[in-house]
Amino acid sequence: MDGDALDVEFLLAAAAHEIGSLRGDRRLTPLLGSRGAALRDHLLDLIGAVEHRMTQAPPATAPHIVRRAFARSLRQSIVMLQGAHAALPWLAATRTPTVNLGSLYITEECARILVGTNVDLVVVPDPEFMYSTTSWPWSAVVNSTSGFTPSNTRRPIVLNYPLSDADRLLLHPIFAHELGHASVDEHQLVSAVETELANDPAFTAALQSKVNDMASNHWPALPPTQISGIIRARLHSWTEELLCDHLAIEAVGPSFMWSFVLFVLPLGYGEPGEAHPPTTVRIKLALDHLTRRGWRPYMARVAPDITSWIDQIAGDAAGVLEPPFDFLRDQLVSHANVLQDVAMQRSGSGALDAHRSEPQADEAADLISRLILPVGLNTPLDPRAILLGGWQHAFQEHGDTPSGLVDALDDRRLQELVGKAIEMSTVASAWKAGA
Amino acid sequence: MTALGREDLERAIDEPDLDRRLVITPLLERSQIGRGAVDLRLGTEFLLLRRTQLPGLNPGTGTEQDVDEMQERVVVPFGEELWLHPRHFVLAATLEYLRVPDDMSADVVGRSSWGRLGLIVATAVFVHPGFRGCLTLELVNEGDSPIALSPGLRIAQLAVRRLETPAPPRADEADKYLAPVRPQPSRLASERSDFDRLSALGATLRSRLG
Repeated sequence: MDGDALDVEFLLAAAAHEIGSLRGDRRLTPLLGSRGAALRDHLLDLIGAVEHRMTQAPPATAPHIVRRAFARSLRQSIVMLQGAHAALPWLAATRTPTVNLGSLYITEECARILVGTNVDLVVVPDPEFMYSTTSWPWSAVVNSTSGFTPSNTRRPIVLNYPLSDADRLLLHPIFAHELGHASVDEHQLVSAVETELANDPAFTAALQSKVNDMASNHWPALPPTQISGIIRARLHSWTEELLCDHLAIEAVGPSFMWSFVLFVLPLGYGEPGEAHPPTTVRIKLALDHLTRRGWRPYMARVAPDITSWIDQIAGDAAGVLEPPFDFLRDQLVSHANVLQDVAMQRSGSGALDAHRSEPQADEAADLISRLILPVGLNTPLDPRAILLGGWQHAFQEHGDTPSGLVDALDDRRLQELVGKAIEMSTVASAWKAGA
Repeated sequence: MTALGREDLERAIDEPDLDRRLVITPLLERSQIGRGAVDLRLGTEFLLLRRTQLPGLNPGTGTEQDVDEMQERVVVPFGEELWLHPRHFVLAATLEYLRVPDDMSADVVGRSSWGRLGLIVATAVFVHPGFRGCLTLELVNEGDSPIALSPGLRIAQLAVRRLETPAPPRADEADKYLAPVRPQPSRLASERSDFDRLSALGATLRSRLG
C-alpha cells in the first residue's frame, strides 16, 4: 500500500541503491579546474538532500497521510536520482570537450557577459536535433528539502546542441541565445519587461480590450480572467524568447542573426507558437536591435544581398496573425525599445561594439583570405570579431546569397580555422594578461 | 641556402609585407626566437592509436577511413596533461600556426631537454616553402617512464633557411595537408595509384620467366 511500512522500506532501499550507484561512478570524482565543478556539486547536493529526506522517515505510528506524503517525496527523489545519471556523461564531457575549444571559449565569454561570473558551463551534444539550456536541474528536490543546506551556489548551466552541429562553428552563436535563458532566469529580465509594460496605460488598455474581444468573439466559453491569464502566459514566453535573441545580439552582434536565420528559418516562417513568436517577428525585432546598435552599415557592406533578403523577411512580420497572437506581436513590436533597453542594460560594457569590432573583423577576414590563422597581427583579436571575420570570408567564398549561407556550413576548413583562431586568441590574451 | 639567425628570424617575423612574412602565430613570447631557431609549443589536440578489429595498417590496400578508424582525436585543454607511456606513439600539433614564405624552408627538430627524458619528436622534419598550418608532430616515448605532455610546453624547434631561388607558388588544390590546424593522420592511402603501379610492376617482374 502506498506509504505503508513495506512501501517505505522498499523506497528507502531503492533510494539507497540509486545513491550508491551514483556515488560509485568514477565520473563523479573531483574535476580538474572549475569547469563542471558546480554541476558536480549540485549533483552531490541532490544526493545530500535525498539522504537528508531519508532520515526523516515518519514512525510506523504516524498518520497514514504523513507516511504517504513521505513515500511520495521519496518517489520524487528517486525519479530525480535516476535522471541524474544522465549528468554523468556531461561531467565526462567537461574533461574532454565535445566542441572545439574555440567554441567553448567564446561561449564561456558570452556566459560571463550575459549571466555573470558565478556560473559553470557544460556544453554537451543532445540526441535530439535541438539547442536547449538547463540550469539547476535538480533544484526541485534540493531547494524543497527542509533542513538541508546546499553547498553549491554557482549556477550550473548545461547547454545542449545537436550532435550533428559539433563542428558547425557558424551555428554556435545560437549558444548565446540559449545562455539568454539562464540570464533571464538569473536576473529576472522578463519581470523587468513586464513591469515596464504594466506601467504603460496604453498597454493595459490594449490588454483589456483584447481580453474583451476574445471573450466576445473567439473564446466565449472561457471567463475573462482565464483569457487574461492565457494571454499573459504567452506574452511571458514570447518576451523571454525575444529577450534571448536581443541578449545574443548584445553578445555576438550580427553573427547571431546569420546563425539564427540558418538554423531557425528552415523550421518555420510566419507561424506563431505558444512559446515562440513567428520567425518573421523575431527577425524583425532582431534587425531593429542590430540597427540601434549600429550594425546595419556593416551588414550592408559585407553581405548586401543577404541583408536585403533579411529585410524582406522582417517585412513579413506585419502579416495577418490570428488573435490573440496579433496582440502579442503588436505589443512587443511597439515596445521593442523596452526589450532592447533591458538587454543592453544586462550586457553593459560587455556588449560587442560595432565600431570597435568592424576593423578587427576586417583584419580577420583578410588574414583568412591569405590562409593565415586570424589571431591578430599585432594584438590578439576579440574572439567575437574573429567570428564575424569568418562570416565575412564565408560570404566572399560562398556567395552573398541565402544558399551561400547554407554552403558556408559545409566549409569545414573555414570553421576549423576560425575555431582554432578563437582558441588561440583567447590563449594569447590570457597569456598577455599574465594568467 | 642561408640559415637564419636570431636577427634574421626577427626581421622575417616582423616583415611588413604579409606575403613575404614568416608567420608564426600566436608567438606567446618573443623569447621563443632563439639564436638559430624558433621554439614551438605543444598544441591542444592529439591523435591516439586505438584498438580496432582491423588487422593493421597497410597503406597499399587500406583506405583513409581505415586510418581514421584506428585513431582517436583527443582534446587536452590548457592546464591539463596527456600522459605518454613508454613505447607509446601519439600525433600532436604545434600550438603555433605557421606560414612559410615561398623563399624559405625550415626543419623541425626536437628539443634536447625532452630528448633526454626519452621523448622523440620524430616529425617529417622538412617544412616546404609555402607551408601553411600547424605542424603535425609524431611523438614517441622511448624512455622507461611515462611523460606528462601539457599544451603550451616548448616541444620542438624550427630552424629556418632562406632559399636562393624562391619556390614557385603552391598548387593549393592538390595539397593533401593544406592549412591544417590539428594533427593530421597519414594520407599515404591517397597515393593509391603509386601502390597500384608498384603492385602491377611486381606482378610483371615475378612472371618474367614464365
